[in-house]
Amino acid sequence: MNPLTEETRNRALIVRGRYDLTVPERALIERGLLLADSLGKKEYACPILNARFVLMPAGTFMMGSPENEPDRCVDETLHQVTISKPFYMQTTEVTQGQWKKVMGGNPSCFKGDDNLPVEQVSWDDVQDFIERLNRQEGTVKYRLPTEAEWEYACRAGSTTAYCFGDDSGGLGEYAWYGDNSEDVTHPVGQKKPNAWGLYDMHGNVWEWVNDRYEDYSSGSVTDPESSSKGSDRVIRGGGWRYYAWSCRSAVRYNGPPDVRVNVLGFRLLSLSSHREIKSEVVTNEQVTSEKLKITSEKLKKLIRLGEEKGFITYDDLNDMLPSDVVSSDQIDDIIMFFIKKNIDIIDPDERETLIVNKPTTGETSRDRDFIAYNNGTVLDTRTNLMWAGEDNKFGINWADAESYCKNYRGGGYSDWRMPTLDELEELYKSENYENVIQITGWFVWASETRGSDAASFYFYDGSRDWYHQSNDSNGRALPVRSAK
Amino acid sequence: MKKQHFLVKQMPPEEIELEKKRAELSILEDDLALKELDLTTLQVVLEDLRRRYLRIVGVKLAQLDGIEAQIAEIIARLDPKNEEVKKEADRRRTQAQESADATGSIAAEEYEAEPFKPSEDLKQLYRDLAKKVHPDLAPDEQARERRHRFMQEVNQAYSERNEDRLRSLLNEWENRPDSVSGEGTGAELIRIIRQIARVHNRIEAISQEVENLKESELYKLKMRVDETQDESRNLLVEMAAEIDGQIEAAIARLKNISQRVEKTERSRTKQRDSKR
Repeated sequence: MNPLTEETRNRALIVRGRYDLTVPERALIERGLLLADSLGKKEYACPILNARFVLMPAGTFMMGSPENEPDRCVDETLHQVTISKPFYMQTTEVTQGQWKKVMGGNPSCFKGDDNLPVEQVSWDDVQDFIERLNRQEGTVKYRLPTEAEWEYACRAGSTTAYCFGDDSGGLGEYAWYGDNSEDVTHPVGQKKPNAWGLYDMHGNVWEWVNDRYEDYSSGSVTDPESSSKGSDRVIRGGGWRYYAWSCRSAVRYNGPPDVRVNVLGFRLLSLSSHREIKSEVVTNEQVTSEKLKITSEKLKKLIRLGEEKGFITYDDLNDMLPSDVVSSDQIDDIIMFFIKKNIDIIDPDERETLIVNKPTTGETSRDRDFIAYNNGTVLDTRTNLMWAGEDNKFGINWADAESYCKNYRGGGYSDWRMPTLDELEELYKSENYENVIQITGWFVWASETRGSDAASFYFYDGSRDWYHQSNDSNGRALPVRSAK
Repeated sequence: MKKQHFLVKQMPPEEIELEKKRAELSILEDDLALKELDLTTLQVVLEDLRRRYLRIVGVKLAQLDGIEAQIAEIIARLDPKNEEVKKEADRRRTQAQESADATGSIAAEEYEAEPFKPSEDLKQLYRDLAKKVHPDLAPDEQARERRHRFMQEVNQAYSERNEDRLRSLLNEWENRPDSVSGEGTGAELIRIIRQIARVHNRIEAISQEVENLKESELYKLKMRVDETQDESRNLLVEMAAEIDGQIEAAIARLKNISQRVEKTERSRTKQRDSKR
């Protein structure tokens, strides 16, 4: 080694306390670099849709149009808007091919090319699409842009009538509209993009945004969202059948959320950070199961085995664990998945006891205080309550849960109803209810209500909680009746 | 005129050479001072980033590792015969321990939140000092050693952005320069040639050091932080927020899994009790 280099090293050691990083420090910094990669990425591809998204920086812009803009409408009040967080915007409108990947069918009027924008989708349909997409990807980061986010992305720093300038003569290079569309939609991304890489922000199809249509506030605002009044949603950007002026960046139109027309589609926004979506991260079992189900056939077999037997052994798990499952996170997920499905993972030597305890289909069995009948009902002899042997097995809102219970006809009885909190708690206290009654969700709805909320009982820890009655993500319906 | 000419011509070749070498050394001194400034600045900037990173992001990663280790340990307990999950739990535990060690002291210490950005005055002071004090410009070995220690103090003051200290160091130095004992032209020429060689070596070594630093993880991190700063983002804060989200999710997982384990253990105990 060059002695002078060594000298530098020593000197640096004294000056800076340390020169070389320790191994753990280096490991921490390498993880930071990976994280920085995912945070700082200018582009992002949605793996399910095969759609590109580009990063829109945070910033401040003038939303609306100046009073001297030709063909301006009165609802375009100019005001300052700050977008406080960067976000990803889909570079094109959602295509028919992308719609089909998530929804199966294709509702569009103009067909023949998967790259045509999807149309004849209502705002409500779009919400359904987004929910499914989020679930499939195991995230909650996709949504429609707000009106402000849409205009900010469309302008891409411009203050002119169109993203490229004020002269509508140039619109043909950027947009499919009345003068050049020949009365049909065109495959996305064929015209020039705006300065931030977004295609067809002007023209092709109008685009739904998340907000309801209402007057702008006149002052400056940050991350504005519409109030919950009114029902019409805003549409933006102009379309293939319309005049140039209606493609202006500031133009606002509106439509009822259930309308489906062949000039109206949408594009997606994707949140850029884990932080913004963390509130939803607490694993939704639906999400986990979808994610796990697509990973491997082997795993499917394992799940079927578990569902049949009501338990699996660690030997089963080890034998059938897919070879691509390597990290403890994945094993953790799988174990959690079985736990949530109420499938026990047990030591092989305990198997015998459990088989005896588990009622098998087609037979009547007894498990301490419970009698399980072959018609799928279970009698709790302590309380003389008869329970359905399993819940409805999917997320359901309170009202639907109530009618599910009322309409349940297990054992030929017609007096089924929703249980009360106390009844659910009594069931929970039995400890071995799990052997005879399958509860597949986080909580079970109870009959008590409080305004727009309804009561729920957590079978994970025996706690009670109140949720808005419209919550249909994690609750289950479990019918009960009083046995005579 | 003629006389002068004659005299110049009569100047001994070693003196002419000495003049040339002095001029060469003078230019090199400026260059050396600038390069020292660049190297030290880069070192201080990276050290500053290391501390800020460990304080803002590292501690969160350590926290996350701790939770992940707990989860891995519960899984290992659930499945006591499985060597793989046991190994995984050990690995997680070690990682959590290392992350905690690497960030433990830094989390507690006080440190300026502002990234290191030296003022022009501070840089100029440093260059003035480097030019005067640099050990490679010392007339002899003894002086070199003394200068070496002095230079360390200069670097320290610079890294602390302490202008006053740098000024007093400059003052101090000017009042006690190296004693240069009388020497002949030949001796001085040899000394200067040696100094030039040392300075060349040092400049070469500095550029090597800068290259090395630029290949380091810290430097890559610095580049990323700088890029995002241009977009008026604060990358370290964004990273910390991201990890906060991961921590919350991990806590939720830990809570779920430990509740379930507790319950399973309770029902197993009951089962055993009822068998008796």
